[in-house]
Amino acid sequence: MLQTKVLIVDDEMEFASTLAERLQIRGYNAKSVYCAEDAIALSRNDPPDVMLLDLRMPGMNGIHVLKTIKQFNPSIQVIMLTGLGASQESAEGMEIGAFDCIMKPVDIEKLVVMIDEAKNKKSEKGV
Amino acid sequence: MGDSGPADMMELRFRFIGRIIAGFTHELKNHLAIIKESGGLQQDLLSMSKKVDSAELHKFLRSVDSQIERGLQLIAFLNRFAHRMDCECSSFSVNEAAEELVALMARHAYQKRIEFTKDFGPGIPPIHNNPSMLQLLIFFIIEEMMDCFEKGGTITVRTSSEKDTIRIAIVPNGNMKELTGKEDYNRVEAVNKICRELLGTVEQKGANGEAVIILTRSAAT
Repeated sequence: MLQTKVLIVDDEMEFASTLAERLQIRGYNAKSVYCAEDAIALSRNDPPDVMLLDLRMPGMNGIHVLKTIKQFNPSIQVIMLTGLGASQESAEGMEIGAFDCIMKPVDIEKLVVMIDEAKNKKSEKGV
Repeated sequence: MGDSGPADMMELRFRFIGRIIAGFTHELKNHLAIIKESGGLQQDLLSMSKKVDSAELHKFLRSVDSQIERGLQLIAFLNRFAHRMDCECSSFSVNEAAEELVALMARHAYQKRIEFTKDFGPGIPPIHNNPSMLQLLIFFIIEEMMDCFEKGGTITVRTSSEKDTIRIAIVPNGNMKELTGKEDYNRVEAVNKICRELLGTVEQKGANGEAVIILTRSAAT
């Protein structure tokens, strides 16, 4: 069975790379990038099944990234990584087509369930 | 917006405090998230191999130590910031007040790809004034500047003193644009109002809009 490809997008490098390592241990093909521009470029060249996207990053914010990605590849399932008090942004993200959101710091077991559900949704859509 | 009355000032102060707390909690949450993931990774590795890799463990402990150190420093800044409101006027170090504000605004600036640099003059004598109001004034000037940057840059906060006068220069460096007047309150008016309360002045210089706050050492009593 093919590994689920997960892309973590967060400007907090240590957080993103450690989370990627934890997902790799759990059998996911997880990578991390630290800016919006790299997330968009990688999503075009090597699209992940599931993207974990921080909503608040310097420069282009997560909502903008989500909109851009949904335009060129709506099949990528996006789970928004939200901080405190980001309910408005989360709601906006859900309207744009995010799969779900999870608050940082994340509970890894909840996150894994969410990633699997997101992957299943992608598979059900047959893309 | 007309002349800022007490109610407007209260609103501005709430907004200021809200911004500072939002930046602080965001930053602290990030440090805790890193500690949580690093600790989780150690648990994962332990449960897989059942033995401790000492190099990995050292890396983890260094990371935790550094995150805690940064978190504690932020907490110290926020605590000092909060206590500045204990009384209206006190003798305080302008350098310390500016340093604390800049540290607490760093997350907000980072989101806009702006970095702060500090150029604090040595031996600046304490000033007797309202420290919280001075921080509010610096905050509004910096916030105005941050909105003018096209694609990030730096803001230098420079302090100096001469005889009975203390100067705080806030110097932007980067491509700047004109504001379109979209801001929902009048910062210039707020700055002038705060200046009057501090019995000081603000001068604007240069093409990039460098701002210089000038205060006398014992303006307020």
